[in-house]
Amino acid sequence: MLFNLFFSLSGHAQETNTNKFQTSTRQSLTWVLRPYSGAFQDDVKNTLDARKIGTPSKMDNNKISKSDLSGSNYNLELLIKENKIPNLIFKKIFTKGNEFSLENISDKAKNNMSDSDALTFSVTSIGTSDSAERKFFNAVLGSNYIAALEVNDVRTQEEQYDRIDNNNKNRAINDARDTSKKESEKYKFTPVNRVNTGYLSDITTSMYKIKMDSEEDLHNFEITVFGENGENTDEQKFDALTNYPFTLKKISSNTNTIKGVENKAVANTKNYDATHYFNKLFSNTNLLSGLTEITQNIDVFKTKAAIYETKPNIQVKIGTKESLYTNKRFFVYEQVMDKKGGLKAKKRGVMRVKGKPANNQGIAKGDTQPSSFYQIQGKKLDKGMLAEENKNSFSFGFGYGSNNVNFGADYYLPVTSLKLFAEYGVEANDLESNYGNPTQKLQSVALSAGLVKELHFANNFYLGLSLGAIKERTFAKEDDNFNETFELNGGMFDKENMGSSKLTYRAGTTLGIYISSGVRLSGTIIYAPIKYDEESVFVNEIYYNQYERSNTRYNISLNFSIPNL
Amino acid sequence: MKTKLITLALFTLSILGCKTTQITVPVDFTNYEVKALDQGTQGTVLMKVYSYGYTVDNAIERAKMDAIHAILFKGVPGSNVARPMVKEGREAYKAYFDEFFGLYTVKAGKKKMIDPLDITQIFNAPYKQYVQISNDGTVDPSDRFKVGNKYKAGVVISVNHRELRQKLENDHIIKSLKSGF
Repeated sequence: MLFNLFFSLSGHAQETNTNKFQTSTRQSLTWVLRPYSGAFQDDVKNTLDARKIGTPSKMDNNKISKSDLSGSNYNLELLIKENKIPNLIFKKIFTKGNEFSLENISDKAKNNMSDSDALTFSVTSIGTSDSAERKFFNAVLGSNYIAALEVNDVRTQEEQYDRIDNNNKNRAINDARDTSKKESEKYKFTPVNRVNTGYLSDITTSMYKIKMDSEEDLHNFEITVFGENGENTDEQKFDALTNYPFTLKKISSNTNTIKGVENKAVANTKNYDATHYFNKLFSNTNLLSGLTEITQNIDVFKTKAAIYETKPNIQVKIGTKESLYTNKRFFVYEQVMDKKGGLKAKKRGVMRVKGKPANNQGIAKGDTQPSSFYQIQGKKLDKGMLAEENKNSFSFGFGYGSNNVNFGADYYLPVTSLKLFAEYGVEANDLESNYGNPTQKLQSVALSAGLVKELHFANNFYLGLSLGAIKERTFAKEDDNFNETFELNGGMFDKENMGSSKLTYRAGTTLGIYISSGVRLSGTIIYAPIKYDEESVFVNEIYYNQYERSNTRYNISLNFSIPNL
Repeated sequence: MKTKLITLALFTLSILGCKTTQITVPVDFTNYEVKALDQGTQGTVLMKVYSYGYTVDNAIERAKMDAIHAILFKGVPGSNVARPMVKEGREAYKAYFDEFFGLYTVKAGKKKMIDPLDITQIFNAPYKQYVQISNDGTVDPSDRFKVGNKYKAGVVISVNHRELRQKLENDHIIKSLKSGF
């Protein structure tokens, strides 16, 4: 029955909606590997043979049995086709046991659709021309991707060091010949510090889509496989699936250098063998690095879902199946209709996953328990708004306060609920000598870094608690009468070494407000116990001691997110 | 000069103030869109209904009422209830359907029609027995629109048309199919 009903869908196949607000389908992925030939090829083969490359849980793993490409075609796309990878994928989609069946595609559709769609799917019967099933089945056919991995240039860390040294030498030689540069601007060659041992490799990840998302693609496929009037036997269908000339569309490609190295000192004590380094080199994280980059930047791979409820807290029916983790960031959008009937996507706020996300692995009947979110910015969020994952980004800011000028940057550490921050401040003070010398202008520069925990106690407002280290150096401001070197108390001092540095901890409290999704204003009070009374400050040949500076400092900052928050 | 600047600022503000977009949504009980999805099971019909409300929740409540309204007075093309059940229209049985839909409230002895864009005040109207949302209540983001200061939402609604017809037959609003023409 399923077959007949499925076939009846084909004549009116719809274009897959690529609208931003389309939420229903997870994409499916199949890994393939181009065999590597070159240095260490046996080690590479043995390591990769023993490893199954993982798939991010937000994607459905097509799990076909063949993953190594054979043949020597330089063109990767043709090589994938020669190996009939798309045919194997579609054959699997239409096979249950050893028989042709539509149950698998039905199960796959349910597993990959949103909860809401799964419930609609379960109450509708299959086959009417306008039924929801057509949309879901077409979505399954139109969401298959192939990620091809190519390993290149496997080398030892020593060879890598040699390459770096050679490059640097050549640069230094070229600079030396360059008469247009001043001597001080010329690059001087310093050999690289060879601290590590192990192996490196380049990996290229290329993502292809099996093109099956237009009315024409679907119609041609279904006519070929099922016959003009659905008259094909199962044997003919399998035959058609084996030989169907699928079209591939290249989505993206990138090349990364991956490392499997250890510190030489550690390696000598542990006696690591080559297997250890190659396992580290081809770890899942390293192999997935290219795919992660690709999926983060392409809209169709982003997790999208509707806000299910907003009280008592914001809930969305997604979980571990969509690679959710604590504090993962989502932007929230809604469709706004203008007076001409045109639609625009308007960003309404930003939220993050609150606590542990729901475990929805294997749930395909629409009974996913929702995961909770907390809003950090924006207007009041409402049910039915679109939540779309958005990777963390850096935020840069500047400010003014007891540090006359202040620059900072922060970044949300993935998986944690903490932000990493770094800050640079410049401060000017007057200093009086205890020897009666006139007031001297002092300048302090402070570099601090640490972690901050933000508590979002009300929409758009947050309280930040930070802890970190601060290193401050205090010295005299530029002075024409200042000697480059001078003698004091029997010792020689020079301008550069004059002054005093202190390293200590700093604790801070910040009250902030988001002015928009990309701009926030914050006020911070910092406690940093820096005392100069023991190691006094030398300025202008005068021994200043008991330079008392306040333990507390404050600043007001304006922060901008790159690109959005 | 100062006066000129103030005048210019006020003029600019007044221009900006006038530029706010106002979209008018008709406030009545016939402003909705309905599309048949499929026959459900056991005398039910599934349809996607787009309705308006002051909030999304209001629009969803309205969609349930509109689904019944469509089956009774308009018919749902593409479904097995393509023709309206009540051929004479709502006005022929106004009092009956006002009560059936719970359209009036009584406040301080005065009968007052409820606001069509906020029908959450209707609690036990008879029509509610024959209609339900087919999913878990999630509104698909692609079916949710902000229109001016109101909302339009599309939800999949299941209507038990068999029991609805039975009710109307029992109340002598329509004739039984068995009674012939």
